[in-house]
Amino acid sequence: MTPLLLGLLSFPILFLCMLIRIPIGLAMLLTGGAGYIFLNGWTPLLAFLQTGPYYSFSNYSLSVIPMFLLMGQFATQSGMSRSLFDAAQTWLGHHRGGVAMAAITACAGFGSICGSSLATAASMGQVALPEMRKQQYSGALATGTLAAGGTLGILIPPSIILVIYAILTEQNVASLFAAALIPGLLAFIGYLLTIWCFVSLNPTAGPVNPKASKQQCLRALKDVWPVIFIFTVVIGGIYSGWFTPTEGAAVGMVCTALLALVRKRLNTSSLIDAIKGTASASGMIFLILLGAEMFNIFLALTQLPTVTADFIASLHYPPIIVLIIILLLYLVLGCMMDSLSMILLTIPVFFPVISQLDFGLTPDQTIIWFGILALTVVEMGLITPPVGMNVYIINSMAGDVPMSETFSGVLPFLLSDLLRVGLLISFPTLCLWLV
Amino acid sequence: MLTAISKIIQQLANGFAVVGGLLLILMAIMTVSSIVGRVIFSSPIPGDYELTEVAGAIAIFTFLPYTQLTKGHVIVEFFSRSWPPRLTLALDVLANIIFTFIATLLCWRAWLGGIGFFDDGDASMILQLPLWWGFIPVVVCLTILVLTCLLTTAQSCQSLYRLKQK
Repeated sequence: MTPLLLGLLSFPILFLCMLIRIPIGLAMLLTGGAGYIFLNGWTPLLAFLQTGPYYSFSNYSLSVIPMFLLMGQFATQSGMSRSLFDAAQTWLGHHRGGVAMAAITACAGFGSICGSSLATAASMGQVALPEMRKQQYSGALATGTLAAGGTLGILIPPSIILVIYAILTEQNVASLFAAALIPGLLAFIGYLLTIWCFVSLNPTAGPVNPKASKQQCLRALKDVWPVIFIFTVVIGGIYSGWFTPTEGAAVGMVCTALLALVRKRLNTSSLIDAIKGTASASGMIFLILLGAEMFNIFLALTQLPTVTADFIASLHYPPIIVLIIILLLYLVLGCMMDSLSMILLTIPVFFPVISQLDFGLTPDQTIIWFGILALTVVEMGLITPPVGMNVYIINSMAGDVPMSETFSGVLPFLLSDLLRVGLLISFPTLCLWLV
Repeated sequence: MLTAISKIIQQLANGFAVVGGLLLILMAIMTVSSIVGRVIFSSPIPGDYELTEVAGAIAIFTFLPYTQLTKGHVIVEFFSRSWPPRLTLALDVLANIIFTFIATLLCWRAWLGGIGFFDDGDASMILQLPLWWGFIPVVVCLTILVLTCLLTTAQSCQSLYRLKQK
């Protein structure tokens, strides 16, 4: 069997392993390892396993991941989600659908100090969902808003997926964070407009609150300035080169821990909760990272990525068509897989393909732009039927809302996501302006 | 007896995760002090990047048993959702056995890797820390991972057995 054929065969085998409920990271480790043995024999594999895992886990750029995760946990513990939501509600509550808009605003705020979508959806859901239900918001609007709002956690930097994308493609994390800022803001505005359209069409879905006084509005801001401060220090510091992303995450983690401490939310048991949340998420991510590394070492041996890239380049399809096909593939895969595994599995194959396409941008610009597009599309997987993780989390919190209603509530937000992807494809400057 | 052993394994997995988290926090405090030192006194803590790398790796290894214990690893559930519970449980037993095998392999190889560094006397660039030091906690964590995998294998066998009896 030629190595190339083996590389092609490895994908159905990998998917079969995943199909029979082997954890994704383990499946990649297994398939990659087996393929590696097939090509090079046992001895090099055993030699790799002596120090390989240690070296990949002690990668300086990767230590940013557990730190950002712990930072997000401390942000959750500090009760910032409640303060953000209260403040946003004071400002926006008097509009039709205002509480839903407030939830989106709070999600965006929380996403600016948290790099994970699930954490954002979970902690905002706990605060905003009961409030919206109490105020007679329809189940579809309330749950759809929060499931979609959760994706702002990763669309707005810091973002764990972007860190991993940066490492895979040897790009600067700071440039990717900068590139994600305007698209993240567009996502936020798009979601606000979606709610506005939703309640214009069904006025009963989102009732109106009395307007808050100017004083109340100003007072509400007092509680949320730490979020703005932490975001500015962390992202500003990384962007301006004051410190590395890992250092930025350390600063952010210490700041959010202090915030939780000052607000008297941090005690031994909540500290242990925060650590355990981080532990479980980091363990999951790093097993996938290890598996993906093994799988990609094997794939590189088969030369499948370079051959695929040459093949696609030889077809002379318009670059934009290739790009759209790749993004559609992400949408389909996103219905079944989690975003991180998808990025780790596909970027080694797509990276050489994309690098060879000419969009009239420099190679670095193309890779950054593609990263933001991929991030956007991959995140849509979190809210697409049938297995959108965010949808499940929020739906399980709202006991009385049927799943079909939540998915119908998410649809308008998906539409706004699609419009945004179209916008980002048509105007790459939206991603590249700040880089 | 068996419940006592499983309790010890659970406590080890939990305890190590907490220790790893505390290590992470210490590392962050060290990093922040180093930044402050660099900006104000232009003297960062020497070898701060090295320390971050070692501590980061150790923290991740301490987290692995906990993730396995709490079933934190991502599974594709898209297809198997409608399968009979007996089948999915049997497959879970299989996945746990495979993980036990892989964990044992990793543990054994890391042990040899540590011994290799000990024999060669390799040390880190700036602080000259012997590299084999880092492998002691790593091997300990991987041993706990093997134990945890054995425990989860036993647990999944037990649920399968109970389902069959019904």
